[in-house]
Amino acid sequence: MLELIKNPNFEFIGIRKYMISASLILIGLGILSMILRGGLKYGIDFTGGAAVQLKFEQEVSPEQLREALRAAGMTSYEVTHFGDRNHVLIRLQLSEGEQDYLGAIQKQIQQILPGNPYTIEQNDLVGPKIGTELREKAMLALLFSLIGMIIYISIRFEAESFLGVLVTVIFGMLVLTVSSLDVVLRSDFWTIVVISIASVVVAFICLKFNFKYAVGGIVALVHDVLVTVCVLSILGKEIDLTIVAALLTIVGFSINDTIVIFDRIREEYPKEHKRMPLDRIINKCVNITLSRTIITSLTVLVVVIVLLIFGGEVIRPFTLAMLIGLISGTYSTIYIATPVLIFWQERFGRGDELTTKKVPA
Amino acid sequence: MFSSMKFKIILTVAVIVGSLYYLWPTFYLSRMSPEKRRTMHLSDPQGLRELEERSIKLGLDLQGGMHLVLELDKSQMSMSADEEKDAIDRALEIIRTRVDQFGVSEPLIQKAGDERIIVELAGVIDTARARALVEQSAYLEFKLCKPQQQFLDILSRVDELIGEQNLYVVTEKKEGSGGTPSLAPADSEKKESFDPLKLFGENEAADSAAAVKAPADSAAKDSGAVKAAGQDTSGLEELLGTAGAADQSEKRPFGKLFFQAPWGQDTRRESELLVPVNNVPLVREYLNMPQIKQAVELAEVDNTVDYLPYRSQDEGDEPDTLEVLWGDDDTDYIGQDGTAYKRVFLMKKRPEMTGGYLANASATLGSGYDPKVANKPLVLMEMTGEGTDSFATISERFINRDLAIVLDKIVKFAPRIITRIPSGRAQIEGVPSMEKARDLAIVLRAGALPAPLQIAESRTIGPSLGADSIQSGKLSALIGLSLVVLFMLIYYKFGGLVANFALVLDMIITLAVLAGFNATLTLPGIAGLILTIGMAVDANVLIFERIREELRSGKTLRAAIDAGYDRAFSAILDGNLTTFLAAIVLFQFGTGPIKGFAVTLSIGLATSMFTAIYVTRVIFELWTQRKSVKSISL
Repeated sequence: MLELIKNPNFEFIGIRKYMISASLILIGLGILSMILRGGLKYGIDFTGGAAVQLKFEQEVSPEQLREALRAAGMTSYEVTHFGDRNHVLIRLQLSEGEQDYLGAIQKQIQQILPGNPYTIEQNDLVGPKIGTELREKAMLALLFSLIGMIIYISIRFEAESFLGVLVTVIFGMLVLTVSSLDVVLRSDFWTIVVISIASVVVAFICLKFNFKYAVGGIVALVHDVLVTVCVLSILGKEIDLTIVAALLTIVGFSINDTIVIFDRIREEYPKEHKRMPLDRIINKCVNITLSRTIITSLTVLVVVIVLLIFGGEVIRPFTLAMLIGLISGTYSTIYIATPVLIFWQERFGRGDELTTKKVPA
Repeated sequence: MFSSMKFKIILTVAVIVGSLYYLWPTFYLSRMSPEKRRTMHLSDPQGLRELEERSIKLGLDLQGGMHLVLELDKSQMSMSADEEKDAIDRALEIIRTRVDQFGVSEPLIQKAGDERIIVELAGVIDTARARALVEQSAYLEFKLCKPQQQFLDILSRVDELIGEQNLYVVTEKKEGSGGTPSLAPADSEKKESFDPLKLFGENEAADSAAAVKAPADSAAKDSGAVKAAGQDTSGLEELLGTAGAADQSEKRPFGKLFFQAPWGQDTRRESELLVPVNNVPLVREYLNMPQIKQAVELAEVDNTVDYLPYRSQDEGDEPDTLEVLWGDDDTDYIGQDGTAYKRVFLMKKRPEMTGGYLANASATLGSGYDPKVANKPLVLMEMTGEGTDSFATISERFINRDLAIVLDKIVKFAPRIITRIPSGRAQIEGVPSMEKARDLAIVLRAGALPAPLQIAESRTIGPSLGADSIQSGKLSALIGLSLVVLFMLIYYKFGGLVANFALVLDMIITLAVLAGFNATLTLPGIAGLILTIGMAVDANVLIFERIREELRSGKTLRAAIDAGYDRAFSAILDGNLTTFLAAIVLFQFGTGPIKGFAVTLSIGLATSMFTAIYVTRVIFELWTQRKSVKSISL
């Protein structure tokens, strides 16, 4: 049998303080970049407006196109190369009733670049109302998935506290119903209210029922989403619907790793807790599952990198977000979820609740 | 029984064969050259459509096209929720009629909630046309239909023209019919009533004249046909002055595509003709040729065909320009054998009246004692002041003629004028159902929407970008698959080989399921498929790692395999479950392409569980059953 590393015994947990700091620094940089850039760079899906992608036969400079746009009477626009110097992406903010932007622009391009034929590869127009709705939907989708994961982890790991699970499930349903109300769906303000209240209540539930695993899992997930968004912001990338789809996929995927480690911890703890402190036990668990973790992460990573290189421009934002999220997901299991677990146990732990009831895989 | 080896093998093979069967149309269609496709579109559109329906649908972002979300512009005028709902219904009707013109196969037009309409047009990327689709106000016209006999005469003229100028359209000829394309109705042998009568060509049906309920002599008298009418419908051939059924179809390249409707007291008094759905593309092709188009339009003006005999008493002698219009899909006639026929009319181009003269229209049930009317669906029309006078004149001049209700150039209904109507209040009888009556009322009122429609969202993808995306997708899938396959072989050797087989099978089954459900493949969907490649392998990794552990702890080969599979199962389920959860959320909240991603991801994971757990185990059990196998390289 070819094996990656026989009986690994690396030091993981010992350096966790440094790794957490690194995470915090990264997130800090991200927030800084957001402040500097005036917020997240939203795509037209969320801001409304138009995006036109043109492919010219010969190279073209953005400045020429900006001229054309000015001449066509556009006031708020952005022109960039897209892929190579023959492709351009034009983003526009339109005022009310400016529906025929394309015709006007095409006329001007005809005047300024007569010898350079082009095709319209893509032309998207999102009205302001739809933009707001999509924004709300995206936020709620993220909320739904996080709540879903909370419920799932609770059932899976905190089943000893039956009442706690029940409360979580009921609360989860409540949040989901409220968020589907029109009032919330159509307004930034109410969405944020719902999210804030939900977070507070969840934190309260976790404290009350000592949901240590759930806390660890959720913090890791939130970390993953934050890191992905921060890195994208630092790189100046746009946040649109496909990015949100990537975030949701990452949420579903990252929790897997975490569950594997938690399962193992539950298996090992009763055997070892008399001999080793918690952080040593966790280190051992990480080592035991190392082979499996590396391979599963690797296979998906390889596939995502292939997509990144060969998948084409259209899907690049999505694959980039997936890449960041996947790396973060694997990382967060070891350096976010478990330290949170350790911290929680030290602060709020009541003894030996880290035992298992289910058969681990 | 379920755990026996035989059953397992049979199930696996069945799944493989089934998948290949479902994938076949997609494969076949993708290999077809554009010319072959066009020929098939003309000669066998039904068959082509079937192939398309059973293939994987490509999303707009892959084949190019437009996605529009329409809503009413309420900025100028407020309206109640009910008014808005009604307006959207009317708008929907208008849009449906107009999209017809684009000739898109399977356009998607549906309401989204009570306030929005979604339109998807594959292959159309002209934004200007799309806006015209939406912004133009609906055009309702009332046009006079020309008598069927006149229509028949013009068909003959077109046949001659085609012969003279050699305008034949080449279509695939089927074997064994001696040069006659087999468009003859399959039911021409049957002597059933209510089957449309074929006009020209081999016509054994002519003998079943008795079944067709056509009284013999009416045509000549009423329409004043100059030609001698035969005593029965077998005289049709005589009517057109040719002998010998056999070479009819040769001489009637155009005419043979048409059928007559066999209902009513007198088949020749209804103005319409029928065209089997299969023949429609060919008829349109001919009608679009400039020579034929002109010949039809100016048939009266040039007097190439004598029209005076067809004039009603008060109609006058002035020649009219003519046009051929098609009936709405909803009004298709379905024959006994299930063939659908589209109605087609010859009519005077200039409308007798436009929608502006209509004040109101509503659907209702007839009252009173007249059996034709009582409790049958009716449509009541109310004209405006001017409209009343207009309509009085029209109903007097054209009594017993058919007046077509045309919305945006499509004939919605063509009732016969039975009496003079001086009061401006008319009722349309003979509406087949209450639903149709309601639709018709909507059509009549469609002339004026309370507020204009506007485009709330529009996404247009050019076909070149779509093709590029497909290419990139294929390339990524290939490379990704190869890398993963290579890795599995190196790291798990024989086990890797088995896992790779399962992986390839997974891909095939996933695609087959997509084809089977007629699901749409989008670009994110392709990404989802590729992600599945990476994730599917996880399951096998888990199983193999577990088996290795069991082997290390000293179990026998068979025992280790069994234990490995059993214990890995819950972990595999766990991992995939959370991804499923995320996919469900994505499906709920996502737009088209993202929904596609969620769907392919879910299907891919589900099938990967089947192939990774069930299929690989079958292979392992088969392999280790042989006594010579003591260990496997893993």
